[in-house]
Amino acid sequence: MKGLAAVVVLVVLMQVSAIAGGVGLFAGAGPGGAALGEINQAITLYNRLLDNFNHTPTITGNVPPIPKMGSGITYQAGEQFWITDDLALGGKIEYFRTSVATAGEYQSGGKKTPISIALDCSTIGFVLTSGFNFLHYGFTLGVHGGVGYYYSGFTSNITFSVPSGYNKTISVHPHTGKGHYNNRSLGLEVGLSMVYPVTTWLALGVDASYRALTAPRLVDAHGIGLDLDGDGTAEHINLSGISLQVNVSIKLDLFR
Amino acid sequence: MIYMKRVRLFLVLGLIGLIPIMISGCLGSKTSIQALFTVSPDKQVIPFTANFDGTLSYDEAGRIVSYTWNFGDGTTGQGPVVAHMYKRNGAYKVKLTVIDSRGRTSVSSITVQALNPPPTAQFSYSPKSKLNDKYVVGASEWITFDASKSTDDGTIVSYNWNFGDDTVGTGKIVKHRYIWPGTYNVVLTVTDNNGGKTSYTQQVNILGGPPCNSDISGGDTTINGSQK
Repeated sequence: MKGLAAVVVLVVLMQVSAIAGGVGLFAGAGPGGAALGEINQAITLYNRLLDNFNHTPTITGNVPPIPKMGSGITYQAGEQFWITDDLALGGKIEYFRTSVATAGEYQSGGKKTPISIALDCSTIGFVLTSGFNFLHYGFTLGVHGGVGYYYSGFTSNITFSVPSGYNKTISVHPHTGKGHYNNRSLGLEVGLSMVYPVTTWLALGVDASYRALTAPRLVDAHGIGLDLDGDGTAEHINLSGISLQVNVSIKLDLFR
Repeated sequence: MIYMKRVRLFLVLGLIGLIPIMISGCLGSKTSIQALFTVSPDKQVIPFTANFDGTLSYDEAGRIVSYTWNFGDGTTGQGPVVAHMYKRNGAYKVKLTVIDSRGRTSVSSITVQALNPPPTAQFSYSPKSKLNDKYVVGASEWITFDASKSTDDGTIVSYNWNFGDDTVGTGKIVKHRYIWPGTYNVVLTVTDNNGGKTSYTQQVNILGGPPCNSDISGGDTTINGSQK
């Protein structure tokens, strides 16, 4: 599989070198998002319980709710080989990270129950891209797409227990403890780009992209899946989402 | 020119093909309805009433319209807050099923432990004499230990004695004698037909020494039981 991919890349690059109109390097960053549906459902569960503890008369203290997970920053850097003036093939490395946390303490009858929840999710993708410019009007408007291999990781550091003074038993026991989970998967990306040429070789641009990426069930070093909500099944990490990036690109006309 | 048209066509088809993937990526695979409840108490000696509260259940995308309880003992209930009495001992898996206005369901469960009431252990012994506000028994004197006052809601299936002098015995009424003077902790452990056990300890004070003609090896006798 890896050999086949290498051959494909090599063939593409050889063809590109023969016909290319130039090479472009680009780098950018901007706000991004990921769905993380099952993670956010587990966060809702934690928040539901925290809210219940916060409003239990026999317990003092307050733990703020955990923000929903998904907003973060996307970084990317790559290069493009222009086959024609409007069609390019290339590759890029893309990195996205999002994290949320909360902490606090409950007291009851002199006993303290510390609560802390910190979740961190990141993915790094190696993406083969293609781009096509379809409108030139002082700026250039284009579409781009790609397929990539993404390494995704999730770190949880959770101290969560029912506070002393809460004299009831709860039917669900959310995850507590530290863990690092990861896995690899293929993803797709598609988007629109607008590029404004500052000079003949320097351009500024804006990318609006959608990444379709659902990682398989993430597992730790022992092969155990991440089960935040304690329902016995590991969570899916849905990293699909939209990102908006500001890019700087340099175009080098090597073959003209 | 034809080449460019084909490229455009492929791009458009590719984008159309990605739409279902984008939509599926936006949808979560788990439902956002969650059955969640508390119980108090979840472990108690029978008979007792357990209070169940399902109002912690939530639905992010709708409204919960039904709370159905299965109490694990063949009975069911309805409503967000219910109470149920357990009259027989056992471990009962209680399930709450919630249904929202869109017909989606979620189930959560908890195990309630309905405990068997343990037997009460009690025994008396005789003969004994009162000396300085203390009951005493003479050395080598045969003592009758009687556990007849022990009770249970079912039946007591065994009476185990530890006489505190490295000897043990079984039976509701047993006889034992101590050769050497001293204070001995006599422990009676009774077990009922559900496996419940209770122990009761009483001190026995032995005075005097072994008679010159006593058999210091023991030789206990048992009524309705046995000894080792």
